[in-house]
Amino acid sequence: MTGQELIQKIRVELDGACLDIEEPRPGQVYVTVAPDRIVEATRRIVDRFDARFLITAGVDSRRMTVPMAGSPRMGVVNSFVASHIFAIDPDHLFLTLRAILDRERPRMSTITEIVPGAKWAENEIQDLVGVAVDGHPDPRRLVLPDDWPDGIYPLRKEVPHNLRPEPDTSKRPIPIEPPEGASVLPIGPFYPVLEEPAYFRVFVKGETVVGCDYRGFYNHRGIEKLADATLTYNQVPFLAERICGICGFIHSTAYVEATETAIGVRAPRRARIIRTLLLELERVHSHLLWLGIAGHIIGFDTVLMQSWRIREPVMWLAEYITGHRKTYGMNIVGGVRKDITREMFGRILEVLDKVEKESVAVVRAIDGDTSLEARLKDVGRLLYDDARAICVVGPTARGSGVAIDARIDHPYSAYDEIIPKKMVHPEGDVWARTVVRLEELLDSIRLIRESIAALESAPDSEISLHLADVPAGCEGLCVVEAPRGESIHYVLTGDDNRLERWRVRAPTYPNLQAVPVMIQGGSIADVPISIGSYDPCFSCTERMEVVDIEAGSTRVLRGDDLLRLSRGESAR
Amino acid sequence: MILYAIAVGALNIALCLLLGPYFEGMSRKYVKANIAHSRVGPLTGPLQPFIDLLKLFGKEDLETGGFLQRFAPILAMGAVLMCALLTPMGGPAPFEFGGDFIVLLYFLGLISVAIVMGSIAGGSSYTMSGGLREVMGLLLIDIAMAVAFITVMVNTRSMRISDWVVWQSAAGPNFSMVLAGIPILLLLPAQFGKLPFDTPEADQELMGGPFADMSGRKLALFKWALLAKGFVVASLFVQVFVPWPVTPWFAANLAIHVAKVLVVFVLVGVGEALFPRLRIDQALRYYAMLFVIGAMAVVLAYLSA
Repeated sequence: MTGQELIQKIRVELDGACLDIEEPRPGQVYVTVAPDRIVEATRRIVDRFDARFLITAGVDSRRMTVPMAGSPRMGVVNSFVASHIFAIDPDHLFLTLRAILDRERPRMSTITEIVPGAKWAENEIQDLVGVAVDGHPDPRRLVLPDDWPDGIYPLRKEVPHNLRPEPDTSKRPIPIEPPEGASVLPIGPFYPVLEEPAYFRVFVKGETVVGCDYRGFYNHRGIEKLADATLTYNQVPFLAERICGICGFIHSTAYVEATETAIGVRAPRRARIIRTLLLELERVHSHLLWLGIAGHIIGFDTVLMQSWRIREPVMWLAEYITGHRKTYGMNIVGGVRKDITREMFGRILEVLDKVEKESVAVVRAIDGDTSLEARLKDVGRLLYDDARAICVVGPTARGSGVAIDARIDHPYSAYDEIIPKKMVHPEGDVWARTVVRLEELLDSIRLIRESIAALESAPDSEISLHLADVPAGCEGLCVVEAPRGESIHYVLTGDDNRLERWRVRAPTYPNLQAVPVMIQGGSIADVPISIGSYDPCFSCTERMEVVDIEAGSTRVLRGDDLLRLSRGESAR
Repeated sequence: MILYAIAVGALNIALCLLLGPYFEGMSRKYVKANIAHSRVGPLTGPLQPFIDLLKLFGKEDLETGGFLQRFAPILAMGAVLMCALLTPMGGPAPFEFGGDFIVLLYFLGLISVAIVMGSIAGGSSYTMSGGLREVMGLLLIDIAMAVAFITVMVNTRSMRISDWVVWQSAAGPNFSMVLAGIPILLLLPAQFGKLPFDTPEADQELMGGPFADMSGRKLALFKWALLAKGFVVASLFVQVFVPWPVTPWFAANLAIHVAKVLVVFVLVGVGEALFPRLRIDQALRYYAMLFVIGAMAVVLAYLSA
């Protein structure tokens, strides 16, 4: 099915509900319906096309002066827009279902009855854009702090990006009560295993888990707002890269390719191959990193130390290629900033050989380890139906038999010529997720070799395009397969040569919502590894602030201060 | 006689308190870090546990649980020292009398009781869960160990540990003794509180379990007691099941004994590096299996006696 065929079918299916339908970029279809028809339209799209929910993007376009490219007939929107973004994976299509909401009192109905995985997305649009969602099963705050005052919605255009309102101290978090006879085992608010801020209140009866409540987003940094308020198109990739400390390059690739799609250009082939190579390099080190952490969580530090030792040369290789071990700074809209030259190939291949040899040894050791199987098999179970309903992504989905991989379903960079294998295992337990990631680790090494072969045959050409001003009102979507799942970036260009809206969804967002299902009925000992199994990435802190309450002054501690303090502490 | 008891008593206590942490440091540095993890490990080498303990002794001691919490580590250390006085280490134990094994068993159990006491005093859900796991383990570990030792009693027709040592070095080992030695050896990591059986502490699940609410001196005393306990249980195993070779010289016996205990520490370190932590239900099944092996040894000893 092509985009045009989809349009024909949707016209028939939605009948009169469809106000506008367009395919402004190949494979990206935008459907506009009236706000009161959005639930019905979602039901039909999900039933008829087996569409998979990705994310909801809420846009405050009250001040936009041009029509959106996806809905030209609607004219200048002048109001709030809510877009539910779906993927139709077998046909390589994205389908955005959207409604233009009331300008004064934006409201819409929940689609969670049809798509349970839309729960957080609707919480978020309620918190940040101020769209009231009727019938939401859990309308408690998700993203905003509990003491954030009512009525200030950070993603509305009149709210400045650096606003720090007085906290409303009368408000408290609203915890869910544990079921009868169960007690609460708090994990967090500082999640001690991964040393990240996340708060699971696990309800237990003895050693058995009977439920859980989650509160997170303690470190929501307002990156989307910062970008569309202050940065230019080519500054954003460097911010995007700092969304995650592990899959930074994945976020910057998703952003630049979404923007390229919005503008309607494609980076030169050589640049796309370089992106692919770096993406796969990032996958290799991320898989090894995760493997180590998973080992650490179940008390198997030998796995941690060995897989991180194997990983280290990959980091050095990244530094050799890009100048940085982690935050490469390579992507710009329209290409990359540095070439990978012929002289580098030898060293890259050499490191790959070593990493492959050692990884194969680790994989073989893990494969026959009965004590590992005892801890990982039948643990943290997420079955196919739940995985589809919660819309989990990446190895978590593939470990539950959901055969999705954005590199194959929605090719970007050079994945149209360098083709990965889809690793799918149906068991749905931690072991299956582990096996998927180990297989992908070895496959990624193969893909890096293929990228090098492709670079060798590709003529030395330009590695970036020269771009003129970006037109306003253009939309682009890119889904990049991070090691832990899909990162989704939606871009809407603005009229001041700045983004109007940039919507980012990291892979942990859907996967985290599957935790209650995974740990239900298991034992306390299985909770950390179940949470760890989908490689959660809650957020990262880069600095700390000390507040002297009596003097009322604040002092910011930066990296070197922290280093000095911690060294002093351990020297004591 | 009294002088001998005092001298050897002091020696036993010194061995436990000094070599327990030192051997732990050796296993940590050379087995775990250098071999299993391919890393340098603590730069101070085997002395690192002492440095850790010293540092803990100097840290701020937060009080969360009142008298019971203060008393628990002292009880644990006291019980370990009593065990040290009842366990032969190279020569006869400072205190020995008919039925001394029962008293030793009692004091070994008392260490776990002290841990449970400390966790109840802590009162958080982590310490409570850890205490609960410790109780579950105590029931099976100590009983499985006691059953295996019944084999020794049947073989030697005595409940006196020194008689066992003499019997094994002269007449042993027979098949039932070997069979009884297996569960004791395989229970040692659990007695040490080491992976894969550190379920009560389980850093990544319960943040240290019973010790989650302890700090400073209390925690240091507890840690030291547990390291010393490792030396005691290793000594017991080595003396009763592998007492050879016995020389006429006390110093040589002592040196041989210490070397054998070091081997036990190394074995426990290898186990720690090779296995992930078992879930409490898996650990309990494992203990139950060892209990069955111990019981088989008892039956075998009866039949052949």
